[in-house]
Amino acid sequence: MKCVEVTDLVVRYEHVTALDGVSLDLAPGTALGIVGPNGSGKSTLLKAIAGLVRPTSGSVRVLETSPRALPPGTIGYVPQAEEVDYGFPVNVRDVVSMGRYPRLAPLAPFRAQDRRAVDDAIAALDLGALQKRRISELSGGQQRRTFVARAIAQQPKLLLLDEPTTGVDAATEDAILALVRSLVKGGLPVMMTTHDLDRAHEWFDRLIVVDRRILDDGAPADVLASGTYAQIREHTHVHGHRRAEEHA
Amino acid sequence: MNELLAPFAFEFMQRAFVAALVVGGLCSTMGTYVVLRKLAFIGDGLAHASFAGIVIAYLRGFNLNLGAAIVTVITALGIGFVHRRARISLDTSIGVLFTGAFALGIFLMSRSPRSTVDLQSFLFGNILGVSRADLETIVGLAVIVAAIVAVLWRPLLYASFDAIVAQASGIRVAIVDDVLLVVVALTIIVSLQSVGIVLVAALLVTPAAAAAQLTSRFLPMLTLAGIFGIVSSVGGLYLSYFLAAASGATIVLLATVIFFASVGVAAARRRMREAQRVAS
Amino acid sequence: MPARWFVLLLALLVAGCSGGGNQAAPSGPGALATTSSLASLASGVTGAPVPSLVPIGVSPEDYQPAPHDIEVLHAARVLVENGAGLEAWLDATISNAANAQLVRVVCTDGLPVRNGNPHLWMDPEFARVYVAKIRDALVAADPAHAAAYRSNAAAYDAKLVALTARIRRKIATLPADHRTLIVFHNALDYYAARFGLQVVGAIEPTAGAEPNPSHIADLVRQARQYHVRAVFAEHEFSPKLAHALADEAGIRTVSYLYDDSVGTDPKVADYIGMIDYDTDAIVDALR
Repeated sequence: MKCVEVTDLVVRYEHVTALDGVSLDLAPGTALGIVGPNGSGKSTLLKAIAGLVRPTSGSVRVLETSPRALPPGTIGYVPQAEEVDYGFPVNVRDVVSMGRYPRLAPLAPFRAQDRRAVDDAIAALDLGALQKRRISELSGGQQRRTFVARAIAQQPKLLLLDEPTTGVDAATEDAILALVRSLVKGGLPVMMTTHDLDRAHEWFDRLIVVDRRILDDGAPADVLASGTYAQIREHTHVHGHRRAEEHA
Repeated sequence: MNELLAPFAFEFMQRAFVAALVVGGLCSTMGTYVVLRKLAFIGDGLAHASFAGIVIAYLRGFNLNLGAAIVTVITALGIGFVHRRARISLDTSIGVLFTGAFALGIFLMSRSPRSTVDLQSFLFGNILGVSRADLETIVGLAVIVAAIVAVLWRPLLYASFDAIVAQASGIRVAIVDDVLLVVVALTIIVSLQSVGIVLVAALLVTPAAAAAQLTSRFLPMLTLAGIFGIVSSVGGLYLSYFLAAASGATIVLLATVIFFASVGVAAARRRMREAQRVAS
Repeated sequence: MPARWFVLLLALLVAGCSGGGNQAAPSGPGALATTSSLASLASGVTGAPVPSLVPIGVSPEDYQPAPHDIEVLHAARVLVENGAGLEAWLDATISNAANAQLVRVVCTDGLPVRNGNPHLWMDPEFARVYVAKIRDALVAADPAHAAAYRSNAAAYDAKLVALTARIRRKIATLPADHRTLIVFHNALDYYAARFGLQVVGAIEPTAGAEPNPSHIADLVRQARQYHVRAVFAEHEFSPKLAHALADEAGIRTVSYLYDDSVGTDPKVADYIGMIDYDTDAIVDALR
């Protein structure tokens, strides 16, 4: 069964076409990397799969269901820039525990398995010493690890990560990489956007290049060799904007 | 000793103390959500909106409280709706809707030839006039609100902290938000009719703001807000007897004093921690 | 929440609107009064309805003039006002109206105002003085109809005298120790003084001042001490405090009075009707 099936997905906001006909599928136990310049629609693609954004046309199916109709707890999502109030009175353990909430019945107490999932996630992201700290007191990298830990504690059937390693320290990056690889080995499908290609072969089994459409799709080594991404990237780098049609 | 117990000698005061206890606790605990979600002027806003409900109910000849409740709930849901659809901030939504609703009330009143009644006095109750029936309503509402918050505890917390990821993980954030707005609206209406506008708006915000100074986790903040709300209300009512001052105002002033005291304590704590760090 | 539900609810809200207007326009001799009670007295002199600025049910002390009122004042010839602080907003409104011909009849001028309480019209004997002043002003402003004004005023004066006599008779039926009351506002002070009743206390002694608990406690004690038999609320305001007080003091009766809402309830179609109504309510409650 395909975990994710995207067919001719078009997403338009006001006057901007974020995605202009994207089709892909994803099998279990695969780590899919998504690269593209800024404004290429990578985040929008993840949001559409997470059910946060409605397709203008085309379809998105997760586990053969519409994302919004899935049982709670199916999709684990870590956005690029967390729009949370960092002044909210919660500590690291509180936030990671929220990962368990979608599957708990109202008034049901935390069970041993819930506590274990939280402990494991905290250990996997090396947050043990920071558990009782308020999130306002953490560094950016520590906060990122907390949100990833929350997604892990949820034990989702699909994990969506939007640039999880951008702007974090090397230790955090390594921790997340190790985590993703071990989850994928256990059968979890993971989709992740990234800017960093140097370690693509370590992270991903498959890489796609997106710029409102899928420009390339295959094993990381092949895609990088084909030069598609390098072309877009260089153009962006030199001219400060993307090639061809800008915001329509 | 008898002197100190004097306020309790009267039944109207006994009812007022119970009302103060329940309304103080209810408003300040719901106020925790109001403050954390930055809805601080919703109290004043919905109170003004309820005025339109009273006017319509009066003109159509049905129960004023019911009219107030219906319009307030509609306004609360409208605030959520406008915020999501028109994509404007919550405080702007509140401002637009409540001023519109209030103006509707004034407009209808001014066009009606029959207004022999000062409708605002019906809207803005006084804690000293709380009747037995009022108490039953207040306590009943408090029980219902407590039940709803208990059942929705986790989705409410998740949606309040991180609506986007909560939604992605399968929590119906829009529904949770609407339920919260309706519960806040009902809290405001019932409290308004018992204790008046100044009290409700202040009790929603000040005790929770004070609690935020002193706690770092959600449940302690909620609990402390409730305690501060009850202490302000019951204490303020008690003091107003001896100071021969308006009870509502005294309660609000006490809540405000508690807030500034909390700010002071928090600042002192920070300085102590700094000093310890430097010393070690 | 689906959009269509919200639109439906909005539509229901709008359907709650009803029409109606509340226009005040000066009539015949261009006479206008500030409150409905004064308007009723004035119409006793003119023989025709006189409009009032303050709509019925709005407390004159709190009234906020509307642009329409300025127009109306601009066209009026004679304005009947109470004075003694009742209409604090009036001066500014009149200067805005820029009506050089306007004659202002300040009814309480020269009358013994006590404690800054403006409710002199509630005493029919003072009302007679009001009527005389209104008559004089109208005669001066509109000499063509002077005879009519004089004869109307005389007839109305006779009615007021009859009213006073009627009230005295009714109050005389009350036992001597059944003449104490607790009221909401201080509207009845002059009435009570005239007819031998004692106002033991008022729940809101000054308009708009929120009562404090020790004041209510005092009223309860006084109610018990003077064996007050009734607490009087007013139709215009929420009766909750009156009920709370009455329950506490073991007083059975809470009755409703009018001090200035002439013209809505058929029972209080005019000034005399209002005073009669209040008198009957008081006497019934105190019996």
